[in-house]
This record gives sequence, C-alpha cells and structure tokens, in this order.
Amino acid sequence: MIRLLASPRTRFLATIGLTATIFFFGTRLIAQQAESAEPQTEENVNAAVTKSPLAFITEGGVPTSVEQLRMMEEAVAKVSAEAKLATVNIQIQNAQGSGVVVTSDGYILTAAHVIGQRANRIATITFPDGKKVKARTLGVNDRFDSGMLKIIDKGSWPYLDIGESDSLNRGQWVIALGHPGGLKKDRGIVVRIGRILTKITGTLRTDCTLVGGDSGGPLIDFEGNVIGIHSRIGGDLSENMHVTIDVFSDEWDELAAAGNRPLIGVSLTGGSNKISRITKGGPSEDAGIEKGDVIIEFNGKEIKSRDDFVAAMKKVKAEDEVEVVVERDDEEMEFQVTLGYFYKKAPLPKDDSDDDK
Amino acid sequence: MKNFNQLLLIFIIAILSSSFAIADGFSPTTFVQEKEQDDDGEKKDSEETKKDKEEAPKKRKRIRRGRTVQYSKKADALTETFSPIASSSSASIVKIMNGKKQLAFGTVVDSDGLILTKASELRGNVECILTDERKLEAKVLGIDEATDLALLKIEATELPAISWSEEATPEVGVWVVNANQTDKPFSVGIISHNQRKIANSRAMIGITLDPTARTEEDDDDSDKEEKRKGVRIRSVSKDSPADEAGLLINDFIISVDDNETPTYPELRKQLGEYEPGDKITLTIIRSGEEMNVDLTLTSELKINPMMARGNAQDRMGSKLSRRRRNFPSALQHDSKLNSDQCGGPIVDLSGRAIGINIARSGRVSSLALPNEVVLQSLELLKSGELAPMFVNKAKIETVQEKLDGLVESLGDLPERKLKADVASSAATAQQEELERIIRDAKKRLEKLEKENEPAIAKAKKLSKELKSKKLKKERLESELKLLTTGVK
Repeated sequence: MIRLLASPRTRFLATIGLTATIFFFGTRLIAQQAESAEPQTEENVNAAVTKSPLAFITEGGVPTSVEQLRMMEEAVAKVSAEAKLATVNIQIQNAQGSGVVVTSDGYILTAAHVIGQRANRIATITFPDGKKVKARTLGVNDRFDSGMLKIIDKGSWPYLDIGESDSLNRGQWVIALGHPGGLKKDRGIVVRIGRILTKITGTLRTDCTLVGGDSGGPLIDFEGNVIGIHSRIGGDLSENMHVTIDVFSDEWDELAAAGNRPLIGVSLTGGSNKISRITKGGPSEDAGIEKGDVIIEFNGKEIKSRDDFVAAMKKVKAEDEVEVVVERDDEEMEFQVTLGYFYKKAPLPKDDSDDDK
Repeated sequence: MKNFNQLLLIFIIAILSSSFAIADGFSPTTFVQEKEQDDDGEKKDSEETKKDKEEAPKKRKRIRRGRTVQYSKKADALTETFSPIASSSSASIVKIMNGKKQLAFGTVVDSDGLILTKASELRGNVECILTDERKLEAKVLGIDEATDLALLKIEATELPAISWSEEATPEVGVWVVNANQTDKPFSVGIISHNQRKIANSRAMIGITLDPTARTEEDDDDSDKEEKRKGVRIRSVSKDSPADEAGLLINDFIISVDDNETPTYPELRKQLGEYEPGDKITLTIIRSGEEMNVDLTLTSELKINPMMARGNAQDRMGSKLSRRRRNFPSALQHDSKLNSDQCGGPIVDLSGRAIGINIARSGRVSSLALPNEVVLQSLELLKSGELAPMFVNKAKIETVQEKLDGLVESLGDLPERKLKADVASSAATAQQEELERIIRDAKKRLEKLEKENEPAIAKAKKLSKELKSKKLKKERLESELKLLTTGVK
C-alpha cells in the first residue's frame, strides 16, 4: 500500500542517486543500499520506516490491522485519562471556554477570545473533579487567538507538557479535549479523535469536531503533549481550527508578562520626548511630573526620543520604582515614580455565590 | 593510489546526488505523507506541504475542495481497515423507509423479523429494505417512550440477528464502528464520554427572579395587610409561557401547584421538579390580590438566547435528531451520524454490537444506547405492554380529555357571546344617537345660513351705496379745491 516513490521526478533522481552509489561502492555498500532500494515492495517500507507498530500515528498514516486499532484504543484511553486532569473550564463573567494547565504552578493556555482583551481580569477555573479556583487573565495575541491565564490560588496543579507543532505531519492522529457547550453538571470532559488535515502558520486544521465551549481546550498528540489550542470552526465537520502550540511557546514571555505591563501616565508629543499630557491620578502626576516637561533620562538611561522612552518602558514592570530626570525651564529635575498597572487589577471577589436564574 | 582518488571522486558524486534526492522529498517521513497522492495522479499536495507557510491565503481557499480527505478519518485506507469489522454485522442492518425517504436504520434482533429502530423518526407507513434488497412492510409492535426505541415486525425468517458484545460497557477511547448495509462503515469514531444519563433540557417559563428574600410588604406602595412571603419576578421574556399567561414584573410567586414557595431557593427547587411540557398553576400576588395563573413549561432552548446560539453551532455539519435528550443512559461518541442514520448498531473491534445509535445530539456528539439498556427495553417491547394499542389508548384518553376541556370551555362561551352582543348593541345605539346629533346640527347650520341670506344681501347693497357716495364726495371735494385755487 505504501508506495516508495511519489512522483516520476523523485523516482528519477532517487534512482540516479542510488544507481550512482551502488555502481561505485562495491559489494558492502550494495548490500546496504539493497535495504533502502528494495522498499519498492510494501512490507519493506513498513520494516524500514515504521520503527514501532504505532509509528503511523505521528507519521500521518493509518492503522492497517485490528491489532494496531487496539493499540490506538489503549493509547487514547491512557493519554486522555491523564490529559483530562489538566483540562479546565474557564468562566469570565458570563463567558465560558476551556483551557489547559501547562505548569505545576498553574499557567493556563486558552484562546484569546475566551479571555477577551484585558489582562488582570478574574476568571473562575473549574477542574474536572469540580474544584474551583481563581485565576487572573494574562496576555492575548488576537492574530493567532492565543491567550494565557495564571491560577492565583497557591498549590500544585495537574498539568500537561507542551509539545511542539513545527514537526507535526499531515494525517497525524491527535486527540481533542474540552467542555463542548460549556460546563455541564452531569457531564465531564469530552474526548474526540481526529487527524491533522492542514498546517499553516499558527493554525492546525483537524477533523476532531469542536463546538462552542471547546474554545481554549487542548489538542494533544498520542504522548499527551499539548500541540494546539482549540480556536474556531467552519461549517463542515472537518473544519476545526486550533492555534499551534508554537505560537504560545514563541511568545510565552510576552503573554506571561502582560499582567505586569507598567503604566507611567504620560503622553509624548509626536516622536519627541516632550510630555504633552499627564494622566490624572496616574503615577507621573503623583510623582510631581508636569505637562511640558522633557524626559531626558529614565532609570539612568538617556532619552532623546519617544522610541527611546518606549524601549526603556519595556524593561520595567508595574510597581517598579523608576528614576525619571526631566528638563523644566532649563533646569534638570529628578523624580521617583512608582509605576502602576496598565491593566487595572480586578479585585478578588470575596465569596463565590453564582447566582444564575 | 590512483584507485583511491577515483574512489574519492565517486564518493563525492554519490553523496551529492543522493542528498539531492533527499532534498527533493526522498526521506522516510515525506514518502509516508505522500503515499496516497499517487492515487490522484497529482503531486500538488506534496508541494503544498512544503509551501504551507508561504502560501497561507491561497491554502485557505482550498479548504473546502476535499483535497484533505486522504489525511482524514474518512480516508479510504482507514475504511479499508475497518471493513472486515463492520461487515460482520452489515447483514443485520435494515433501512427503515417511508416511500423513497430513509427515516432511519434498523437492527435485526430476532431472526423471525423483529427489528429495533428509533421511534421518534418513524412517519406514516414504514417499510424495511434488507441487505438482499427485499422491501417489506413493517408493523409497529411497540414504542418505548423512555428509550425512544420502537420494535418493528416484518414478515421474514432466517434473518441474521445482531450479535451483542458481552464485554463490560465500553469506556472512553474505544473505537466505534457505525456499520452500514455494505461492508464499509458509514463513519467511525471513539467513545467520547463514559456512559451517563442524558437529562431532559431544563423546564422553564421565561421569567427571572429576584433572588433576595423579600415580602411584598417591603414595598412601600403595597397593601400592608398582605403578610405572605413570595418571590418577586424581575423580568418576563417576550413570547414565553410566562408572557402568554400574563405574568408581570413585580408579581410575587407564593406557590406552585399549591406547594408554598416563600423563598427563592424553595421556588427554584419546586420548579426544578417539572419537565418541559408539564402544566403548572402558579399562585401569585399582584398589588395585594392573590390570583392563580396556569401555564405550560417549555424547554430552555426556546427561551435562552445563549442556548440558541450554541444550538446553531451544534447544527453545523450534520442534521440533528428531533429527540436528542432524556435517555436513561447513553454512550457519547464522536462519529458523524445524521438523524436518518440512527437506529443501527455500533460495533466494537470484535465486530459485535455495543449499542444502538439513538440520536445525533450535536456537532461533537452522537448518542448510543448501551446494550443493557437496549436489551431491557427489548424485553419490555416484546412483552406487548408498550403495543400501540395501549400507547394509543393513553393518547385517546388525553385527546378525549382535551375534547372535554374544550366542550367545557365552550359552555362558558354562549354566555360570553350574549354579553358581547349586549355590549355591541349598546355601542350601536350610541353610534346611532351620535349620528342623529350630527344630522341635527347640520340642519341647524343650513337653517341659519338661509336666515342670514337677506341680511348679507342688505349689507352688500349698503356697502355699494357707501362706495358710490364716497366717490361722489371725493369728486365734489376736488371740484371745490379747483374752485378755491381759481379764486386765488
């Protein structure tokens, strides 16, 4: 069934390569080549390529025997049972979605649209055993629909390892978990199986069916590593999109730090370093900086333009104490500014009374 | 030495050419990916794989074109693997037809022509198409409302009855093969959730309640004499049963079917006892007056817009069953199933049935009754207790009841008609009276106009005279002026 050479061109080139090698390398090499040259027949391809009986799962093939089907069954049961423990429901006000815990200290990956725009909101996380904890929203990337949260409660949480999506193959078998339709009292996490149909930058498409409520839930490989996060669907049952895990890995630091994005409370004129506006009640006003001041130094670094200032602000976080030197009426003045939060921290609710109708 | 140099040269050539081949896609992983493309005689897909990243927008356009089938669960190669498993039960499957329309699949449970299928999909005269293409009329022997299974009888013998798996109820991960009449299953999937009860949707009347405990006397403008506690209605959904029954914001619900509900939790608990379609009587207090309101509970879906949106997504990609909730126990699996494909068996890798498909309930979920539920229901159906005669008897009774109710309500109607007639004749009399008054007024107006005519004529004449006299006067004056100037 598995054919060695896909196209006449490949066949031609490969043949040249092989012929050349065989022709010039004497008997020992001929013997070696025989192994790779022979796979013109099916069994040998299996022998050469399929290291384990389940290799087809990652390589994008299909099971060809009942034995292999049984092994898949066992693998799904085992992997999904573990993965369920780290799959959570996320509720932010009236919106619900799914998510997956990926570190023992409680970092949760989800879809951007489950979080919305703002960091530092409070979310209720429900584990499959019914345990509810609070989390704070962190960063999002709307372009790929990736988002992150962090559990506030102290503890060690069940989590899944992060895989990588670059090496995934079309046709590879994957498993989807989540809370389709939202959290339901009499139902736990729903498991689905499918294959990777296409892979483009930031998005995997599979035939693991998804529906509202699954958003943010994990797509995992047969080793239980998270390789995608459920994002959106199309009309057909084969149109289920997931954010690739690499999108999260690549931007981990930015996503994780979004909650600490600092606020200083000044606006600069055009590209210059002159302050055009001071936010009322903001950190700069509190420190005594005024409109019209020209920022010339920030934390010991010289500031000449808006870009310099923006770059300097990227190196600090909320609650940091920074030294700002400004020029006012040809005089240099130094201020200590305690940076605020760009995303205001929502207060923790005191009790948990869910009152729906 | 010369020999060695030659060897070295050859070695380099060999390395170059083989690495060239590898770069062109001759690596183990790549040819596994490409293996089925040859079948199409096309190479485009392998190029796509490589160009995925650069050609993202172009790629999207191709999503619907079915080029991905070979990578999906619908791949022919996979169906091939499942084929021997599915074929062992294909002869026990019948198509349930109404004319040319397939209503469902059916499962042969007895070689003498007993067939189980999904009851709520049955319509009109039902026929069964067997694998040997015989088309036989089917008689409904019974309908089990609890499981939504129907037992049919066809005049045939020596049919291959389905063989039931005797393993424990399957759990998450187990392959589900949706067998068809051919040896190719129509879809495959896995058990998505362990066996569970599928609840009915929540019964609702379309109101939101004020959860804070209050009595009506807290409201300043209310009647102080009323001491009974109740729960205040905060809002009423438009076109809901509550709206139709005339419930209003700020009504206080004090009891449901005579069970007192002084507080919010008690009321919620009480309402939770009912199912959609149940009739209830609410006792409410409105501005100090107690009154009873009858209404019929409806399902959550019809009221909650959030649920309605979820429902729309659930309909994307397949046709849902009309009845898809309220089963004593069911297995949820992720295989594609249409509403007209229910009633057939799902089989495991042993080729034996582990249940019967009972509903397509959402985009991600198909439901199957597990063997134990099917077999229990089958016993009940075979016993004759659920025969249409009995079932219909109950139905006839309810219809009779409705008819009696209608007659009863009719008894009130003539009286109301009489009242209406009286009211209407009074109105007619009033209208006539008004018309008469208008007529009189018109007459008087005409009379007045006539009376005034001579006076108006006189006035006209007088003003004419006045005018001519004025002219005369002016002329005389000017003559006088001339004369005086002449004198000077």
